[in-house]
Amino acid sequence: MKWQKLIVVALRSIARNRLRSLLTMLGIIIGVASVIALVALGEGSQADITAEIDSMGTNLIIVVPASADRGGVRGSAGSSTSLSLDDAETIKKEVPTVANVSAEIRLSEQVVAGNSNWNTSVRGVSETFPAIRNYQMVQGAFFSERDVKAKAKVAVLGQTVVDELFGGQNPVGRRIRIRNVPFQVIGVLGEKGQNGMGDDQDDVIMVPAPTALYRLSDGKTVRGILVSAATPGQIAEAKAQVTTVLRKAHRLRDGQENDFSLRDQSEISNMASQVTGTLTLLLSAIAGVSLMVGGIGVMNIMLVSVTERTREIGIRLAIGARSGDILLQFLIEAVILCLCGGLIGIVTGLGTAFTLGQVMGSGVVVNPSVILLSVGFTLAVGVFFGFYPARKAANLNPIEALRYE
Amino acid sequence: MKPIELESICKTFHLGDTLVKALDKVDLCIDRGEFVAIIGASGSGKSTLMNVVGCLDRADSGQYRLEGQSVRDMDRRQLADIRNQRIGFVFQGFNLLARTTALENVMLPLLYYRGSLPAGKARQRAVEALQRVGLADRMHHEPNQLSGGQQQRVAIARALVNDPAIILADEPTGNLDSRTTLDVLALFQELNDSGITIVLVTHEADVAEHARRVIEMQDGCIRRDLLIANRRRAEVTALAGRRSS
Repeated sequence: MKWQKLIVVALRSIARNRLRSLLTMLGIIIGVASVIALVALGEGSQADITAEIDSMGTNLIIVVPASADRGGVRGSAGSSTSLSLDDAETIKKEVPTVANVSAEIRLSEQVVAGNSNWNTSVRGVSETFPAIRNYQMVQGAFFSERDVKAKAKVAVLGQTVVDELFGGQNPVGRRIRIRNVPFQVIGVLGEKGQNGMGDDQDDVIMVPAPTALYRLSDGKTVRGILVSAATPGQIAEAKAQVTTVLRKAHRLRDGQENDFSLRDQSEISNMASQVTGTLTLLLSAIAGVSLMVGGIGVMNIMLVSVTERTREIGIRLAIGARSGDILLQFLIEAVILCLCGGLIGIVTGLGTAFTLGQVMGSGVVVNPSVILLSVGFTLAVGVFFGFYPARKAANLNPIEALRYE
Repeated sequence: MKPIELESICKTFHLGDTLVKALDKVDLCIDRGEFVAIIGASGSGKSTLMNVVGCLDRADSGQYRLEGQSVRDMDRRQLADIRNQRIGFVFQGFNLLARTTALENVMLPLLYYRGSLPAGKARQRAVEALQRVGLADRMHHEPNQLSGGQQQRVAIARALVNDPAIILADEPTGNLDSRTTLDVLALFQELNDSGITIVLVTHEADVAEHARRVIEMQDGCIRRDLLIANRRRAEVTALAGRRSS
């Protein structure tokens, strides 16, 4: 017996009990629809979250000097003075996967403005710093490349410093003194609040890196170089390239240890992917449970159908259907029920996802592999839950089946 | 080569603790072109005999050759193919598929035909079979739109469609009134006249009188086996509709 004929026979018997078939499919429809909708919405919001994390600067790579080693006494990480402002320039010029580079000099200074003073963190950075760390300006402007090159005595203040030194008034154009060096305030950074460690990120003054290094510091201690990779996917590549370039710049021979080390914020992206993994697992579990419930519904109806059609099976057996023909007929019927349910479910699920996405304003990502997977899964459910009733039908005794009332 | 040869066929059923010998060493030969009626009281073994002959059931012992071919060692699927190609069944309750047209019902055995048969040819054979039973004009009707007699004629067309060696009819007139009984019997006689072997099980003596040979069963044995010299011809006037088609 040919497949097309079997499919026609199965379709006809499904069409004969339209309402029942639809209700049977409903379990599968709801299962598949919820999976498709949840995954589409889940991946959509995940994409939103990833975009947000990226905006926080996950592409960030921090280059720090290795620990100093003076006669066997090792200092803390970053205590050596192996990095220089030139290294930052070299990285910017020679590493193609890098978007922005900024040296960072960190000092803790007593700052005076008029008759108030305040101890705060003074950082020497490049003009690219706001782009790397996603700082916004609320007043004035950040210093320019020219200011950096000219070792200009300009400063940009964090909100906490503005509050402490100027009582919250606009400080742009005013003067402050750091280590008795006068600086002109040219801008105020937007508030960032506390970081993960509880440090106040607004208690800071930004000055051009060379200014900090040569006017406020010892002229050689560069605390680190901030590098942002062009995309999150290029972090590993950028790290490798930065390492190569710096080794060359520091004239390190093969076998010699790096006099610097690289850090990135992979923990954040790891955490994000961990959350995603948990979400996916949860969705799969929901999918599994709802499809199993749907499958049991299909099996139930198929058993009813076999009992109801005992006489028909008897007739078919009497006029020459083999057991295998009957088995296939009912199996195909179950599979078609499930597949139809699956297809309706996919359409419903996508519709729901787009509608909800519109309403909630979150993104929707249609993943073809999830759709393929759910089709495959419904197929498997059909075969699995259809097999028992189909075998029951195929093993009927034709004489008893014919007598069945 | 005879269509049906039975040699000491035995069949026993377990009914609770008691053994019932439904068939007790039955020997029977049926020739080509015969019209045999098997009669007997209920429980005489005639239905069991019918099931064994129709390859729906197996004998416990004995030899059964269908057109010279022994069916004793065949498996389930071979028996299914025998039923499909060598035997046409007509049942008391018509046993047509509901909500399926007469034509589709007649085509049903061709669905399970193992050889190659193009769809157009299958349909043509079904139409021809319906023409033989005089229902070509009703082929798109479903069973519930047909009278009992017409339904039974559709069933007979279904039995004919695979060109079987024998037609087995189990109480084919049991559900019919006396007039349509005659219609159906007339059709069987006509098919028999054209050379088809027919075996008919009945418990009504006047139905059996339309056959050429009557076998009476009792307690699982053949009690009488006689040829009817002057068999009754069924009136065919009731089948006017058939003639006009």
